[in-house]
Amino acid sequence: MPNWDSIFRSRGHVFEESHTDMPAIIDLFKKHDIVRVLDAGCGTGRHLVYLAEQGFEVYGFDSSPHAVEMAMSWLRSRGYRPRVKLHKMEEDFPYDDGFFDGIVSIQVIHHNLMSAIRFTVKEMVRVLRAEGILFVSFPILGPTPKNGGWDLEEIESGTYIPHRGMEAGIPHHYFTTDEIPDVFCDFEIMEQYIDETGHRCVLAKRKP
Amino acid sequence: MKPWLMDILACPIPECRSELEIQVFTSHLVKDDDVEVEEIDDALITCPKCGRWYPVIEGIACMLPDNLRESGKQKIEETKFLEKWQREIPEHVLEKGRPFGLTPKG
Repeated sequence: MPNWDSIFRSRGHVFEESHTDMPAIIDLFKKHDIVRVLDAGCGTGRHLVYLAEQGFEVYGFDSSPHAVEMAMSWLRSRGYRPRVKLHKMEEDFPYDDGFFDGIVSIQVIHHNLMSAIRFTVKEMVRVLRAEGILFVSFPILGPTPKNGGWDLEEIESGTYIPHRGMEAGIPHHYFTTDEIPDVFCDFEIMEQYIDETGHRCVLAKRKP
Repeated sequence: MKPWLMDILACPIPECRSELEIQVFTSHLVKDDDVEVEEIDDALITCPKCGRWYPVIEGIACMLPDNLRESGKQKIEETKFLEKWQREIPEHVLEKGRPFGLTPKG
């Protein structure tokens, strides 16, 4: 069964460019005195490198050994400390309570079952300081046979596993609008919008 | 959607990426840190550079590229938005809007 490690091994840097709104998110981070930022599910490091270049103290983790290796090597090549760990989203985050001022997680958390997603968000709450900022994105426009022929199987409400395509075997949860305030109940939702890739972006502040 | 989100949003078309303008149709006031701020419910976002428009529907700005708007549910939802606000939306958007406007009926 394919997984992210085999995808990164075969395709290298799947994503090289940072999210197109990241420059504006960085401005927002600076306005909120954000210094230490976690990229939860950092892949090969596109946002770690970008954030480090903008002066943030960056940390990341990913479940793919190959991606972690690539992210560390990318950071090292730019002269930044490679604070990247091999770690799964559905396990206790390897950081102290309130360690981070900001968290970014781009197109990552939906790759799980709902129980694991709730656990991930709970861990985000734990490691983020009061009034820290979260920028997270996940899909709302589900794939259809027309845009991919993924041969989807619904394994729980709103969660599908594609049997074909690059992400075959990897769960995809499609959030309903009602689920968002429920899953992110420990955050004050500052903004939501739909970006150019059809992903819902949520900017949220951790409640004190 | 709060007005400050306009500082973050840019035209999603890669060759454009222009700053955007907004015409608010409905909004209400909400408390944010004990200060009353505007929460936009329905609005039209336009790009002065490439001429595209984007809807804000029930407080959510929808910044999709053309290929994700020109068919299916998204096209239906965005056409309903144009119909609902056609008295407020500038004529050039209704007639020649990018990626689409309102096709006259009959």
